[in-house]
Amino acid sequence: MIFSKALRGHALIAVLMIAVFAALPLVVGERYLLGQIITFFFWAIVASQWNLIMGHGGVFSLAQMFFFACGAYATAMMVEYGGLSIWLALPIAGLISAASALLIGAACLRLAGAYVALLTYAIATMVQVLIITDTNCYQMVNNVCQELLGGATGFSGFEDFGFRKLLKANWILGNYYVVLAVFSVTILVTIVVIHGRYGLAFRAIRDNLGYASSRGISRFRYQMIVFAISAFFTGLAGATYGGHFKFAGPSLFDFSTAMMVLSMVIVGGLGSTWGPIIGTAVIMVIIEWMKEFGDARNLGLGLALVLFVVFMPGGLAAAAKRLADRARGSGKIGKAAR
Amino acid sequence: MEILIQIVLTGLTLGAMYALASVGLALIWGTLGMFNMAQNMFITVGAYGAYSAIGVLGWPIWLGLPAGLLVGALVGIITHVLIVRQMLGRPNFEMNIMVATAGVGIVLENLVLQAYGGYPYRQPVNITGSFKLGGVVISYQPLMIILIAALLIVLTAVLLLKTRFGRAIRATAMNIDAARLMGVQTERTYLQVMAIAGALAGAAGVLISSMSSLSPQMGADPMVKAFVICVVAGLGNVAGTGATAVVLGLFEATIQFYFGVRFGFPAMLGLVILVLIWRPNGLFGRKSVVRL
Amino acid sequence: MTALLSIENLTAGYGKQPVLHGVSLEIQPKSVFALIGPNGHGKTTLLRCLSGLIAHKADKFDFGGEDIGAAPSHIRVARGLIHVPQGDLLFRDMSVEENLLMGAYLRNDAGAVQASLADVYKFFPRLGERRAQLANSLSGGERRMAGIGRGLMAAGQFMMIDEPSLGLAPLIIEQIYDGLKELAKSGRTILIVEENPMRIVEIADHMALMDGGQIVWSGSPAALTTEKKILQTYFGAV
Repeated sequence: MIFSKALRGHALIAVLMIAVFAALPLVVGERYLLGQIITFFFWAIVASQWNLIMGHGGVFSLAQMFFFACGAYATAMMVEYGGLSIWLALPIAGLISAASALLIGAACLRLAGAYVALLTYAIATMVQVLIITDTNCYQMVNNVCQELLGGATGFSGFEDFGFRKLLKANWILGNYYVVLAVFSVTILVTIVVIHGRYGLAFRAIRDNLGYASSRGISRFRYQMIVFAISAFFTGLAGATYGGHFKFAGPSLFDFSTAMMVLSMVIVGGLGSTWGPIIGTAVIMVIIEWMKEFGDARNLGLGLALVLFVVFMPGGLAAAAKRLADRARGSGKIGKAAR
Repeated sequence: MEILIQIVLTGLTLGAMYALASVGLALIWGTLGMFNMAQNMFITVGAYGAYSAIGVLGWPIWLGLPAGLLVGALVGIITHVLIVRQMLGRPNFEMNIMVATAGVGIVLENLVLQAYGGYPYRQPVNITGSFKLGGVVISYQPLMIILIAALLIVLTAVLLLKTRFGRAIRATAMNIDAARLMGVQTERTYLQVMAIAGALAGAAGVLISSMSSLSPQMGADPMVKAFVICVVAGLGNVAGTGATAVVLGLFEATIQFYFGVRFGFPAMLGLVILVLIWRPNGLFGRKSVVRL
Repeated sequence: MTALLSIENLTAGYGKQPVLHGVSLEIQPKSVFALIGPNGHGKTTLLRCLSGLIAHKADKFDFGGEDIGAAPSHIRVARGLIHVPQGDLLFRDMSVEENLLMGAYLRNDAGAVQASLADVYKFFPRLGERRAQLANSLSGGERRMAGIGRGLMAAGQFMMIDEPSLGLAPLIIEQIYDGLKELAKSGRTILIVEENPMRIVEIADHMALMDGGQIVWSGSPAALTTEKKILQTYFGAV
């Protein structure tokens, strides 16, 4: 493993950031705010993985929310149908997501970029429709029909992390640290992927596919690996989401949710390292601000998406970098340090 | 026999609507190299445009379809002028334009929601009545849809193949530098393509909503299917797209009849994936990239 | 005699990399101008600037007595500045005839266009035989003919042909150059780009050698044969 300077630098920033988040509950006690930060963690993870597979891996995947939902559903079903402990269900759900990524990737990744986007979009849509339109009762729960995959209402009220019993009123703290743990692992692994060997391979593939292939770097293999990794963490996030909110439903497949996360990636800066985190924070602030406008909330999001892509394709991360470079007085903008 | 007629009729109707929804998309891809993720709204605003023209402006019903064509074309033009035009030369165009048009779609959907609310209005452009053929009751409405779609597509084909204007579009799609060297104003050609694609999508919207109803999300399902059809046909092949749309419409109708409506799309998708494994560039597509 | 094309200090590049460093040249009407020199040193870039495909700056860029430096491609074509690009760039899903007709895209007179078409088929009989075939089914030589024929269809005042011998077998090159000789004799103004000057020396009226994005020598073909040092440096032992 190459521990380049860039890698160490970013890892250090990550550790610092995690430390800050770990200490945050000492300062912030309000449950609503903590809940918002937990939500931030979830979307930041999905955004970071989406950025990883799309901005670095070069795969235009629209299946990321599918993997998220996959993780949530797998967890809900393992806990509810299988009686599994949620702690066991979480990593398994991540693995199930990764496995589905390998399946989808095997079908799609050899195709040209745009095909992947369409097929992943189509698959996600199809699964959502199949789930919602399923009306066969798999089992009866309290005299209410429960479809195999939860139907239109989804799964709710299943066993969660159990912090209500342990911490009583402060149960959210328990969830907070669980989610923070998942977030931390995700960010650190992602940094290693981006700035380690895989990142080098992807830059090589992006810069000169012919030469990279001649050196034995198979684009298909690398994309599959990163696709699976990104699906694993996205699924893990989804699983944890299910555990925190005790819910897994077809709304997770909504295109609007996917667009929200995609805008977090774009606004933050596709292909950067810290863009997803910045973008998630910014978009969540915008959403909070737009809550006053009710229905028009999506309007703001759509506008933000268009404006950023047209006028600031590098996102906030690139803008921040330009400012930093100018402040430092250097003329060159180094790609590797991003 | 009755079942066959029923399936064929349903399949052709579906195919007709899909064809209208996809041909514009194929044209945009073939010429601009762009995936229009706002196609769903091009379809939707066409439908609402017809509705408003008749209901609000008091136009006669037979002008409903032209209204849809017009509104669709307008949306296409505006999208091009405001957004696509700026992004054309830039790196990563393929990816960025998908996100940008997705944003446009979200904005438009919201505007439609604000303007009309979510109430499922009835599309006034339709024909009631039916006749009997071979023991089967056939309504005029699906026949009208098939006829109109066929007409519009043939018109588009004639436009592309026989007119100077159409030749300029095809030339631009095949080789933009060469087209410029012939004196084609390629920027204007792009605009024309977006207008035509928008118009076709708008017409699709009018026809689709005449079978169900109007809603701000009505374009989502047709768009996914349109994309899938374009991919199977081989991106950019306009004629192939029309044919594929009809075939897939028939396929979906058959599956729906025998297995249930909800399996129509999944079966279609399964077929699509198989086709792509066999022919990675689509049925009629051409290998343009060196495989590494 | 006023020059048909006159450029002074033309600079251009791709992104931040300048490729042409102040190119100046003049082309007289009814002459054949040969632009030679090693590949990758700006010849094709220059042509793409002249036809407006690439952005460029110049102190002077006159064509037919008018400044066209700021004019977009389609205006230049309309004024008669025709570019037959390197590699043909045929419309591969169109037939030979459709390709040729595209060459006449800006012309309005259907009769005259048909007459031009007949002329092209007379000039390149092979094209006539293949008129209904798709462009991407042609052989290399036929493609070259189609490209040149398409340029002829524009009936412009000035035709630039980029590397007519590129990628062709010697026998085919002979055929192409026979055609070019005919064109030269008919009094057209032509600019031909070639890496190797051997054949073009026979038909050129004036030559320029381009190296590193600049014209390093210009003169008559006769003069070139005496420039031993240039011949040595660029074209190997004489």
